Parts: sequence; C-alpha cells; structure tokens
Amino acid sequence: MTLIEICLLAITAWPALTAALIWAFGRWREALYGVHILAAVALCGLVAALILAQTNGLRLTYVIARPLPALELGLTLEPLGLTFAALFAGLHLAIAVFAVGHDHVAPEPGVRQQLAAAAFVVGALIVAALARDLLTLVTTLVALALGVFWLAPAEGRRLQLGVMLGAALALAAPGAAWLFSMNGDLRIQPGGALALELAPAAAAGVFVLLTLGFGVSLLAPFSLWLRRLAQTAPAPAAAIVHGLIGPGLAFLTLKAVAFTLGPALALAAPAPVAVQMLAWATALAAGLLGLTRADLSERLAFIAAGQGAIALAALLTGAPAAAFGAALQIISWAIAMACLSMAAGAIAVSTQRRRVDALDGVGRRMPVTFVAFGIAALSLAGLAPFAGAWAKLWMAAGAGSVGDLASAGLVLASALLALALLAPAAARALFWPAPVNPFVRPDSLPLPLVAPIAVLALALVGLLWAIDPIGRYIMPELGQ
Amino acid sequence: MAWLEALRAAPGETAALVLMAAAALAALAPARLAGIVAAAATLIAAAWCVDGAWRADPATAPGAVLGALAALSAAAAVAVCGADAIDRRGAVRLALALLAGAGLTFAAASADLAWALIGLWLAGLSAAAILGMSAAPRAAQDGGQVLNFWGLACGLGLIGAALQMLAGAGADRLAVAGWTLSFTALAALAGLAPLNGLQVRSAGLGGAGGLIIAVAGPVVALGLALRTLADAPAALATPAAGALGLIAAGFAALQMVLAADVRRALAGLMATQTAVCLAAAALALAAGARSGAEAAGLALMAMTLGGLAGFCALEALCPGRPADAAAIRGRAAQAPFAAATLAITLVGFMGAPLTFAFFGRWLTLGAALDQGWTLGAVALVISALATAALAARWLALVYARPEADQGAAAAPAAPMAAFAGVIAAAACILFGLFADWPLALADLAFAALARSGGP
Repeated sequence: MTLIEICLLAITAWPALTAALIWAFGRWREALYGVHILAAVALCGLVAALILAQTNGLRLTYVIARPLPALELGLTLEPLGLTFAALFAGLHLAIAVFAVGHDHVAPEPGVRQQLAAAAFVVGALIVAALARDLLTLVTTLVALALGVFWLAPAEGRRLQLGVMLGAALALAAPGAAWLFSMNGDLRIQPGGALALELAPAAAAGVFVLLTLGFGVSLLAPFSLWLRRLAQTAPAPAAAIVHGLIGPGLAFLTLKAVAFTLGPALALAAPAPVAVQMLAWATALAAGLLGLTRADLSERLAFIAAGQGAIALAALLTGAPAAAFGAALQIISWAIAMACLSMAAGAIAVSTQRRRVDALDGVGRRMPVTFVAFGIAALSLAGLAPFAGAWAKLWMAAGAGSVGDLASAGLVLASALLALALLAPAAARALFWPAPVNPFVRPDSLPLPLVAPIAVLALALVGLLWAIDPIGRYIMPELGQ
Repeated sequence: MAWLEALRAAPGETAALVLMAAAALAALAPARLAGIVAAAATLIAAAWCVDGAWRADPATAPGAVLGALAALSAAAAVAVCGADAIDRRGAVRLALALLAGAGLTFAAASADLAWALIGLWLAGLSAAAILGMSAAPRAAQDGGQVLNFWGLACGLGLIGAALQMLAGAGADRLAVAGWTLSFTALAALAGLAPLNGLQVRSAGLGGAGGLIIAVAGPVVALGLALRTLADAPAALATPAAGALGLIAAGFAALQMVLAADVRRALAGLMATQTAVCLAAAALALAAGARSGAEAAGLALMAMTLGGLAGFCALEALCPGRPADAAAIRGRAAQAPFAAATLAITLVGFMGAPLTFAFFGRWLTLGAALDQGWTLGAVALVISALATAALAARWLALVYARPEADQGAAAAPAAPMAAFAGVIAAAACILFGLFADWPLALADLAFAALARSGGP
C-alpha cells in the first residue's frame, strides 16, 4: 500500500473515526474541541497531500469496497474533485474554529451530536468529491442524508430525511442502475461516461433521475427543508448548512451530470430546459420572497436557495464555460454563505439583534465582522473584484455562447436580487451612526469567533488571483 | 463417520429433527433450562443448514439455504420469547416456537410440495397456539383466525399438489389448475398483498407468534412459491409472477404508509419486499436472466434478515401491543441499539448501498431495465419512495427528544430481542459489504428459475 493509498483510506475512515472520538471525549468540553479542530486540521493535511500527489502527475484509483464482482465503490484523484475536497476541508476547519468561539460565548446543549454530525457531513462530501463512480456518489448522498439528520433540529428531520433519502434511493440509485444497464459500468469521467449514440429517451431518463436525485433539494418546493434548517439551526450548524451542505449538494449534481452525461446532455432535450425553468423559478422566487423578510437568518436562507438554483441552471445550459462558471459559483457561494452565516451568528450573540433593520450603525462597533459581511454580500451579488463576480461572468458568458440569452439575463437578475437583499443592510450597518448601546456582551468577541469570518472574507478577495490557476486546473475536467 | 455424513447430506431434515427434539425437551425440562435448550437448538439447526449450503451440493443446497433462513427465524422467535420471564407457560411458548421452526425448516428442505405444505401447517398450528396463549384481549380468537387461514391455505395447496400429481403428462388443464391452486395458497401464506390481511393483523399482535406468522412463515412460503414458479409452464408463470408482483407492490406500499400500528407497517414493508422477489422471479422466467434469479434469492435472504432485525427492534422498542407510531417516540434514548437496528432495517429496505437489501433491488431494477419492463422499474421506484416516507417518519420519531415524563414511564427494552435484532442488522451490513457468498447461494438456490425461463 502506498502513502497516497493510505491517505485515501484515512479519508474514507475519517468521518467514523472523528465521530467516534468526538463521542468519546464529549464529556470534556475542551478536549472535545481539541479533537474537533485537530481532526479538521488532519483532514486538510490529507487533502493537501492528495493534491500534491495529483499535481505531480499521480493517477490513482482506489477501491473502497467490491460487494459484487461487477460493483465497486472507488475513489480517484482528479482535479475537480480535489479542488472541491480542498474547499470542503478548508471550510470545515474555519467553521470548527468558529464553533469553538461560539460555544465559548453562547454554550448550547447537544454540541457533541452536532460536531459528530458535522464530521459525518464533511467526510461524506469529501468522499463524494473524490468518487470514481456513481455508486459511490449515491452512497455518499445517503451518508450525507443521515449526517444532516443528526445536525437538524428535531422538528425538521422528517421532511429532510424524506426528501434526501427518497431522492437518493428512488431517483439517483435507479439512474445509476440505468447507466449500469446501458454501459455495464458505473465509472464516471470528465467528458461524460455515456456514449453519444444514446437514444434520446434513455438520455432524458438518466438525466432526470440523476439531476433530481442529486439536486432536488436545490429546487423549490423540495428546498424547503434546507431553508428551514438554515433558519432554525444554531450559528455553527447554520454555517455548515450554508457553506457545506447546500454547495455540497450542488457539487454532487454537477459531478453526476457533467461526468455522466457530458455532451450527451444535448440528447436529453427538452428535459434539461424543464429542470432549468424550475431552477430559475426557484432563484427568482427565493430572491423576491427574501426581500419580504426582515430576519437576517431567514434572508440568508432565501439567498442561499437562489444561489444554488442559478448554479444548477447554468450547468444545464450545456455549455462547458457555463459548467466552469457553475463550479466557480459553487466555490464562491460556499465561502460567501459560510462567511455571512458566521457573521450573522457573531452579530446575534454579541448584540442579540436578528432583524436586518436593527443593524444600523452596528458595523461601527464590529468593523471586522461587518466589513467581512459586506465583502461576502458583494461577492454574492457578483460585483468585481470579489470571487462571485467571476462565477457570474462565466455563467452568463457560457449561457450566451450557446444562445441562451434568457439564462444569461437571469444570472444578472439574480445577482441584482442578492445585491438588493444584503448590500443596503451592510451599508447601513457600516455607515449609519453607531447606536448608543448596541452590545448585550460588553466585552469584545473572542478571536476564534471573528478570525474565521475575516479569513473567509479575505479568501473571497484572494480568489481574484486564484481564479486563473484554478481555471487551468479544473477546466479540462469540464470539457474546456 | 458414515452417520454424520448421512446427516450432513440432509441438512434441512436434520435441522428440523433437532428443533423438534429440542421442542420436546423444552416442554418437559425444568423451565429454567428451556431457554438454554431452545437457544442451543436453533443455533445448531442454523449452523447445520449453513453447513449444507456451504457444501454447495446442487441437490441439497436449495433446501439448506431456505432451511437456514427458517432456522434463523426460529432463533429470533426464541429470542423474542425470551424477552419474557421463563416460567412454565414461557417454556411451553418456547417449545411451540421451536416446533414452528421445525415445521418451517422441514418445509424448506422438502423437495415435495405436499410435504412442504405439511411442514408449513405445523408451523402455522404452533404459531396459532402461541398467539392463543397470549394475555392480550381476544387472543383466542386471533389464534383461531390464524389457524383457519393457515389451514385453509395449506389445504388448498395440498389439493393443488394432488391435482398436479394426478394430472401427469399430457393433462394440461388439470396440471394448470393444480399449479394455480398451490401457487395461490403459497402466495397467500407468503404475505403477498392484498392477500396478507392476516399477516398484517398478526404482526400487530407482536411476540413470537406474530414473528412466525408475519416474517418466518412468509419467507419460507415465498421460497417455496419461487420453486413452484420454476416448475410451472413459463407461459403461465411469467405473467402471473409479473402481474402479482406489480399489484402487490402497490397494495403493500399503501398498507405500509397507511398503517397506524408500527408492527403492521413493518408487515406492509415486508410485503413490498415480497413483491420485489416476485418481480425478480418474473424477469428470470421471462428471459432466462440469471440476474433475475440471483435478485430473487438475494431479495429473499435480505428480506429475512431485515424483517427479523426490524421485528426484533420493534419488540425491544415498544414491548406493549398494539403500538402506534407514537409509542416509539424518543425511544432511542432508552434503547439506542434497538433504534440503530430499526434505522439500518429501514434504510436497507429502501435499497441503500452497503446494505444487504440493496442488491436485490439493484439486480431487479437492472434486469427490468435490460428487459425493457418499465412498469416494473417504476413500481420499484414508487415502493422505494413509500419506504422513504415511512423511514423518515419513524426515524424522526424514534430519535426525537423524549417527553419529560417518558423516561420513567417507558417500558424497559427487551434485551434478548434487541440482541437478536442487532445480530441480524449486523449481518445486513456485513452482507452489504461482502455479497459474493450470498450471491453464490442465491444462484445455487434459485437458478432453476432462470433455467426454466427464457425465450
């Protein structure tokens, strides 16, 4: 067994091992957080080692299990998956640090369960990012459903589990079985696994099953559970929902559709257009409904629903540039939403203010948090030079390149909606006169609570320089 | 040793004899010994059948595979009996459970349909007696109903078997009538929806009697029904299995979703698996598809282990009966292993990868798509959705925060039933990871389906 194979094995075992350690050390708060952060650092190290190996030219396939001779669950090192694995591992570390700070300021019951669930969620997403075949993707989707079940407050669990398990096992799994019956193989690959001489009905069938199986939670009305979960969960869990679960589901859809259908997507017409219209309706409705909400966490949940829907819609235009734009959109959306939800959590614990109209001038007392909040808001609105701008640009240009001007226009419309939803609140918080007594907590916030927010905001700026290398790294995977 | 080899050559019959002897011993020995005797006998019987299956002799392996499932079901029934304190009455219940196991194992091993039906009749009689001994209101009437239903079905089956024997070669109509009668009887005993009213009702009564009528009996009857399908003319068997599978899937999904009682819902869930088995058999018969025969066998094995795990988990989670869904609310805090067992069962029955039940669904779906049987594929998808609805509801309930006064009021979890459930659930996961051996067994046991089918 080589060192890299050991790394892959460790990544596969990481969620169970971390959850077990968290459960074992759960009685001692400090030890619990120590385990949580050390495990997150170890995960980042493992992913970094894999990226290093891949960039040095290593092409490796690792079989996790072979339950039947023709069925395998495996991992592979490929640029798109590794990029997203790095994203998920990095965000998990940031959220882990934030969770320590949050618990220090506002301790909550059930932390052990939440941290174990978070480990399970991020582990499932990283295995999904490295998945070599559809069976592994479906398995990770089921694991993700069970992980989110533990993260969700009791009231929302039934809907969440019903939607996620139903989609995974009644749609995605039959889609995989169909692919298997056509190809005799479940491996997915850059450029698509399906042959181009496929019958249109079969292409449409596989497309619908896979897109809805992996991405149904991004589309209204099935996205309701995700929105409710983001609204009702404590701040660290909400950051996981916004930064990992929503973008993770979008990434799973991207990988399943782009790596399975590839150019065969064109054969599935008019099914992609129907799903695309549903995605656009979701994006616009979420944006407009968000404008009617004054609660910050509610507004963030609506924005997240819209951002996920536009990533899905851009992917379905079938243009490689739009698929690249969708990948960038998922990256920038994940970082921005994680930053925003952590900022909202920090604001809530320090000021007890949760309404958008109650934030006027608060930014003068919490400049770091609100500058980060503003950067993330502008990034979601697609304003340069922040990361979201490049994503929106590529999505609009990609849609335009295949003559889909409506989609290009709708990307811009959703960006404007995001701007209207968050930018005024950020501006008023930063530039209005400071309130006389804004803090419930007179002492300043601990570093672990603020530092991850600032780091993620810096990442949104720093992506300006990273876009080019990321593009060169992942574009070939998306058919560019 | 020649005698040992002779016994190994007839694993099902030997296992049935062991169970029968143990039943006599349990009834006569001091009550305290009855539990030990019963546990040892069921484990020896199961091991004997597994050994028979391991030897992979085409002549005896099909009976040994089904016999092993029957013996394992008897072991679970004994564990459920052991949930109560074993007094004289409890020892008699254990003896009856062993007798039921002996009947089922004998039925599974019998190459002749008539003897198999007699074995099933013995199992039904014992289960009816266990139900009748229960302290629940109307227990005697429930036991009587089981007796009537089981007797009627076995009687019809025997008439069918007799007609088939009389028909001989050339008398097609008589043979078809005989086959139809015996297949209908076995389908009714197998709990094929909507003929499964009694199984659903008996499942609601819980205990070892409920387990034998709702899980163990149906599994053996279904195995026998699959064998009779292989012996029937393909022109008759294929549409019968296909249509019955589709109709059963729809009815079972409704039963599962609409049932208020958790054990009845589980019986509905078992019925969806029965439908999957029949659909797979239809595919095997239609095109001689080996994957269909393998799917039917794997689905039957997974249904047995999953059904036993689920039933034992419910016995541990809500010992009182009948129990509506609210009875499992917050029970994970008091019985975490039973709750985890229930979760594995539900997720497995939905067809989640890395669980045993996945393979039956996967191979059936693949074979249906290969054959262009879209309706069958759609039925599988719908039954998975219905199972998802049930799983989401139950898991949200069982892992909900317990009510403030629930901790003191809740009945203690039955440890023996929980233990049996955990073992069955662990087997579901183990065979979900390493399915080669069960696949080989399924192929060995039900290859006749594929051989008799095909264009």
